[in-house]
Amino acid sequence: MRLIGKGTSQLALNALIVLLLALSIYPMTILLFGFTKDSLTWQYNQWLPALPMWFSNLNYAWKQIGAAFWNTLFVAVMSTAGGVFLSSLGGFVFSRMKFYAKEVIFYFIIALMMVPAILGLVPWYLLVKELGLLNSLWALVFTSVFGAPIFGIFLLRGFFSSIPEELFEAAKIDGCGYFKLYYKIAIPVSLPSLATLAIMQVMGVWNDLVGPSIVLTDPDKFVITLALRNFSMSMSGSGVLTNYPALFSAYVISSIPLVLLFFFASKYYIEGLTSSGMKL
Amino acid sequence: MSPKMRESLQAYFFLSPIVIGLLVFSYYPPLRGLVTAFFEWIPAGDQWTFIGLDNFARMLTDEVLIASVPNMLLLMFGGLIIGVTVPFIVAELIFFVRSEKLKYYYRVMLLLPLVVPGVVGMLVWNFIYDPNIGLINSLLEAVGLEHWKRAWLSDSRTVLGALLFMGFPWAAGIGPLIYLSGLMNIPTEVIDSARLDGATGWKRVLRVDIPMVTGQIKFFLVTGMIGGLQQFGQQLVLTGGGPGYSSMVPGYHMYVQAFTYNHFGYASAIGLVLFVVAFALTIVSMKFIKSE
Repeated sequence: MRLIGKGTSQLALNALIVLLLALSIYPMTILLFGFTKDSLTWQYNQWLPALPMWFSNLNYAWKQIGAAFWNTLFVAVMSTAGGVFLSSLGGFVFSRMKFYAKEVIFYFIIALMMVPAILGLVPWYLLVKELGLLNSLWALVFTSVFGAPIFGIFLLRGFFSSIPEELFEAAKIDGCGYFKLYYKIAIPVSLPSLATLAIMQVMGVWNDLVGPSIVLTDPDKFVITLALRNFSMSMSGSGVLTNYPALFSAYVISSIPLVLLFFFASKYYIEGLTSSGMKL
Repeated sequence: MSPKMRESLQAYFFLSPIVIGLLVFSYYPPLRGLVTAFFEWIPAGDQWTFIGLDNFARMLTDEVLIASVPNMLLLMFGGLIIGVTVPFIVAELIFFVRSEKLKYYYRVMLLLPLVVPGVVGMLVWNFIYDPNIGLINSLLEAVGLEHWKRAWLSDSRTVLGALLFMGFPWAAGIGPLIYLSGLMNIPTEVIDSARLDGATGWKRVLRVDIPMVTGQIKFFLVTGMIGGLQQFGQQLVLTGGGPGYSSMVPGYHMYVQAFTYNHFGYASAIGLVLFVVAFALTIVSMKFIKSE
């Protein structure tokens, strides 16, 4: 059987891919079609786009999830900044410095990739409680910042090792210390890898539900996942009368930061994923 | 002081926040879990009492936990089959596309669903499954199969199937990208010489491509098994383990025991068992599935 070569089989192949992708993406387009409908239009047409578009649903939805949106943004910014800084510094140290017990410390860090998270969940809650961080966004920030280097160092050490040594030699002769080599040379040439890591951090925060559901009980402190779950549960009480356009508006709002992130950085993310050679 | 010693001290200084942070937030919790699994927590006075193996003995008679194991296995194996094969098929389809430009667009489109938070993805499927106005029941009605209509997520006969079916046809996400990166690393000479031997199309997929992506297959198998053992996101957002206990999984049972009933010791014991199983599965699969 020939899959390649013939023009018609290429056409069929592309058609199949487009169909698969379209079906996978369709659930999201339901949101896009739905969030601009008024309740009457919604009753007759749930699955296809409709005019005119109403944006008043957004107001109502924002009242429900606005605070959580800012909370999540705070956690995402702090954990991304902290996590990328620690990971890149660590990756730099392991790829460019010689020191005693290097291997041991490296394995001490990446061994954690092998530890299934479930064992730590209950004690993590107890730890957060004892640190007095229940109902504090800092519990999430610290956990995410210090969780980042486990994979981050693994990813960036490989990348930093591939930077030609000559780049560093010249600066060393000029008397640059290691920290200066790190932020003057290693950082600027590795922005795509850092972007990959940054996307992973933001996505991790934006999708985290289990952790927040344990440590955040005060609705003022909710992050987006908790707020969406709550909003959806409070709405579904009304059965057929559920105001889905408002709910979908909340879903759409919650996606905006990730949309922006991908708009600016998906190229790096694809490169990073491809070059990291994820396999075992 | 020797130069290496001086450099070492500097390296330790740079690494110290990472090491301290990991000790507190990544090493301490699982280690403490190893200990609390043998204790019982009494809320009055915040007391921990050593009870030996009682938590583990209790697991053997915990009917909810026992019922949750087959559910987990079904979801895990279903998820593994989907997670290993479908992304590979999608990656191969894209790999066979001739136009480099289209290939690139497809790779970007694969990532599109990631812009929607995972919780939203689940909630949209919740809506697709809605018994009254959901897409599935509407479609069944449209083609005259009213008697097949179900409350998919609140019917104990369909809930597990419905959870697995979520995301159908599972074509998007980073899975195909990871496979693609493996396929694109196959040297052109290998593909060319395979073609000379008459290995094109299916034959090449079987003889060249699959052996070249065993590393990726292993990655999806191991992460899929570990993830499948521990996951309970769908239970947390959609089913609550119900109806009854028909979608309960051990991970969610642990969660409920800990955070609804404050049985922290017992929950830790469940976590420990899941940890041991996940760890053993990892070791075994690392050993038995060879890659280059």
